[in-house]
Amino acid sequence: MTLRERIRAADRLQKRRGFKIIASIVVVALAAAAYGWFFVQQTTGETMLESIASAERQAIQDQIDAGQLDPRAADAIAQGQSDVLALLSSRDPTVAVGIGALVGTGVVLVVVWLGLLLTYLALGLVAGAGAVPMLLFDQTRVYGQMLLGAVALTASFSALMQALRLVLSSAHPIPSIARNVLAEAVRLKISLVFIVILVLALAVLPTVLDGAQPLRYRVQSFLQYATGISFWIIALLVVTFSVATVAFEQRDKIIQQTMTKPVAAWEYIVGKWLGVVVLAAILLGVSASGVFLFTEHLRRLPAIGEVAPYVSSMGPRDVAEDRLVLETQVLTARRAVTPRLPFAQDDPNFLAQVDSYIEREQAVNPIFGNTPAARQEVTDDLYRDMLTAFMSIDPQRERSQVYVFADLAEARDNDRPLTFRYRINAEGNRPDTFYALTFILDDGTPIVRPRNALGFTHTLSLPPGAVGEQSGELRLQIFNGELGRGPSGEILFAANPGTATFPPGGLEISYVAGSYMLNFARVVMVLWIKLAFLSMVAITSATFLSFPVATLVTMGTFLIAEGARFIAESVTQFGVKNPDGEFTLWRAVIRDFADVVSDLFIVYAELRPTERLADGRLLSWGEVGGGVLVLGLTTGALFGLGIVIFRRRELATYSGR
Amino acid sequence: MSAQAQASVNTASSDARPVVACQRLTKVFKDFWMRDRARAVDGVDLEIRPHEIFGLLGPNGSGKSTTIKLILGMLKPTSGRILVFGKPPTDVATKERIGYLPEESYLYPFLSARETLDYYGKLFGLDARTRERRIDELLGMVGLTHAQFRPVREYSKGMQRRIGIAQALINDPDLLILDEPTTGLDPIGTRQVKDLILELGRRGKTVILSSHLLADVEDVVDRMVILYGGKIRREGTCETLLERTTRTTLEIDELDEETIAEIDRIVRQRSGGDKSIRSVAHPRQKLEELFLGIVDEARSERAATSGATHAGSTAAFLRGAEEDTRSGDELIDSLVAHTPEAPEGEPAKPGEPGEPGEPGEPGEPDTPAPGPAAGGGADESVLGELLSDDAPVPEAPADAPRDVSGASPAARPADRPADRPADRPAERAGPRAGEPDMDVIGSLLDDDGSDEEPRS
Repeated sequence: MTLRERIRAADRLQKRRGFKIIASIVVVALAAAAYGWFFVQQTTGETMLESIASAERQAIQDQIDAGQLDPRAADAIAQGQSDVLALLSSRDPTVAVGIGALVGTGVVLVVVWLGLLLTYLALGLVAGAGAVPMLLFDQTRVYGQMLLGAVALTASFSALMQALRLVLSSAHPIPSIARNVLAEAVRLKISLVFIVILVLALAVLPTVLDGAQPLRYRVQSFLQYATGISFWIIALLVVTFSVATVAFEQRDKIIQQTMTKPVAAWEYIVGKWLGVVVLAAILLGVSASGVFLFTEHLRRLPAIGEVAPYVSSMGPRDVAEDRLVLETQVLTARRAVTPRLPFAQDDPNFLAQVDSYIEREQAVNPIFGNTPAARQEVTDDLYRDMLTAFMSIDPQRERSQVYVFADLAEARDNDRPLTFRYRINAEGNRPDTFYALTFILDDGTPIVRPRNALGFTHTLSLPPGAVGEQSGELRLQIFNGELGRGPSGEILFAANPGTATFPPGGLEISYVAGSYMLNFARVVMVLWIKLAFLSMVAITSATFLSFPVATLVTMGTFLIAEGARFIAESVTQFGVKNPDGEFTLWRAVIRDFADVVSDLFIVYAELRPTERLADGRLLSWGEVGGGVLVLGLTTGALFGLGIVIFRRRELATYSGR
Repeated sequence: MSAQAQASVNTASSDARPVVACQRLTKVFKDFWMRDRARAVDGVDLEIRPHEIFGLLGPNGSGKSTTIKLILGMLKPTSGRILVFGKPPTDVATKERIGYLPEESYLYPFLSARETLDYYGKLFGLDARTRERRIDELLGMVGLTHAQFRPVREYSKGMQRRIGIAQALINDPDLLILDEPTTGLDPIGTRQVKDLILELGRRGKTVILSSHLLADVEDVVDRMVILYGGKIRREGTCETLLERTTRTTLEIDELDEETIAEIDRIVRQRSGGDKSIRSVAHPRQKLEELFLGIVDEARSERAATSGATHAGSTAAFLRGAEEDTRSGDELIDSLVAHTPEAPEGEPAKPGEPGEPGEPGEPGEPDTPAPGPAAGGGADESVLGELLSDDAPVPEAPADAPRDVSGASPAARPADRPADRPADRPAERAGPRAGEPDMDVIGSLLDDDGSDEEPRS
């Protein structure tokens, strides 16, 4: 018998009912014996405690009798001993250990009845024989941790797979096909490779974090890379596997056996999709659990400026800045608002400016055409110029600019502190140059920040009381320089040498609007919905395209969907004229196509789950619901298309000469 | 009328319908530019009746597999109509009554034999207990019990074929469609498949057998069509197609030269010199029989083999044995539902296999059929004279089956029941055997010409 056959035989053995019953009896007996031994030990310990106390009392009495101890002092000592005895007796560990043993036994029994006892024993052997020795030495500790991580992820993956296989074991085409897809996933190399890469990537990633970095950056980097890498690996797996499971079945003609059974076209497609979606859920669940737990581990490490976790080096009443930023801006769920723009493209004043501009142009340039395309270009150019002007502050001419942040009533009502984040660009963002900025709140309170590095994001805490009670708005006047009082009380202004510009996203106010844990769950849910949508795109493509073509189509869709925001932003910068100012047809076609494509996937792209998680931004239930609705409808439409194609196409081909 | 009686009437009336009816069925394959690439099936009219073992015979590329795929709904006809159990072939619910073995076994390579059968059993909605029992019986039947946990990709072609056969039977189908079932099988497997087909025929199943192996078809089918170039060239029962009425074969205990010369003299004399003995030879044993004898001998010596082991008997549930475990009402219902009923006006089938006096009974001397053979057959008075020395010509009913064809009854194995097609009645009420009843087909097609129907 070969090794593979032995492994198969062992796997069959651990799934047999008889084995499970015997194993359960053994596990329960061992747990009972261990707990019994512990209980006896504890009981014996209490008796010893009483013996010691009794001996002590006898010794004190002997001393009193010998006149070596004052009776009043003896009473005090006896009272102290009695208190100590009472304290020791009250800390009864048998209950806590009993509950722990009960839970532990329950977990082992679940493993037994999932048919994974021998698998877990083998994994334990790998961990014990492989990882533990490596943990003993500094040189190999990292590899030991990686191996332990891989073993833990594999164990979780196996348990979830087995549990869902049991859930899908009913005799109906849809769960049967879905279950078969799961079996295919773990037994075919195409998906197994991705699963192994995912497990290894998650096991390796924690070891490459730079321990010298501030804790908030480490946590942010880990959240961003671990979540992002996991999602991309699973997405690639979903794309290739979804296409493969349908396309290969048609290529290898296995579908001729399946579809000559009482299986409707819709059941077949739903079964395939369900299998892939369940697989994605398992992989995402395992990797998300790993990411969450490791993030919690990182959170409990000392931050910069701390002598121990949550203990600042500046004293117990101080909070280290690294810790503050981590807890209030990273491991949280913030809602952010950007300044309201005082103009819009459909504003009458703005449109009048556009008309005026075109008239002026036509006056000096008679061939300037007032076509819709030319008008749109003028509109875009003017809007862009006005936006840049609004987000820039000239130190001499304007000195300051007022920005209004709306929709902050929730923060005021709930007394949530506001975090103001800003980033300025100036003079090419030289690293040796610093700009002073002055912020004036609506009530006249000035806040001066004398040294702001250029091109970096800075934060400032603002009181919720700064938000207008009625309007829910916060008005903030920002001076491009330092504002102060002179010796005689006069107001002085020290201007910066250049214009300060706030780039897109360079001005925002945020407040905590939810918990990190729930936000994490919502992020994972959105990632899963994206994968479900992607799977349906792949399966629908594979109903009529071969593996390479369907993979290409699905990958193209995936990349466009992920990059829809970037495309939408790029389109605004992409003119229909060439450098000589002439209208170019192909540029117009590209622009219109990109415009349509970005509009099509903008809901998908705007969800930005990974980015939000790393930035500590709220992904609200409303946004999740909106995403579910739009992606669900799109998935449903693709499903309908897949059924129509599948029913219309001939599953057999000409096999004659 | 009680509900049960009504159900019986319905069953009977549905049994009277053809299981498969094709009218002017044509399939033209197109190339990328939509030009005609191949006319695989060309105006085929077929009517396959309940409980019939029907053969599709033809060389490679004659349209057999295409016809089957059209019947199964995997291809759409270019023109013409098809009904299966009175429904369009794309009807999902109909598939519950069909078992299909493709021309090659298309199986999931990562599943084991047991998992494969379990998967297909689930697609039919069979409960776990039924699946378990049937899988055990089918694995035993195809001789793969010992290899049931190995992935199918590790199987030889013959072993994969056996699993293919097992999966086609997992639902105990009413209509079994076998496309080249013996491809890749050794003679033992081939024999077993043929026995299986006959067994299913006895149980009243309808079987469509497609093959280019003439012996396979000849041994088992009731009726057949011979296809070439997508058209039906000949159609009929084995008897009508194979019988050579211009020749007569006698099988007699060994004769000396003198006796043969005497017989020849009588024949010449009675026929006025027009007829004579054309050849004299000793009948040969079939190679299949020789081979099986050698294998049986090797098995008795317990010789080892790594392939499929000695296949067991036909699965109990296919023999109807599983119904025995049911409760009384279920058993009655099951018997009502499964008992093959002859269509109205159709005479009942003759005696069951092995009944005494049946022609071709192994171990007994074959009895020549009396009565004049049509079209220049042997003169009965000559035969009577020839045989008068040994035994009188027994009186037999005029419609008794004949066994005077070239096929040697002695070639059949001693333990085989005499249920070969030649022994099965070809009589049918209404249209002549071998010809589709166009009125019936037409009325059925008029009744229901819809496309795919939702699964009930």
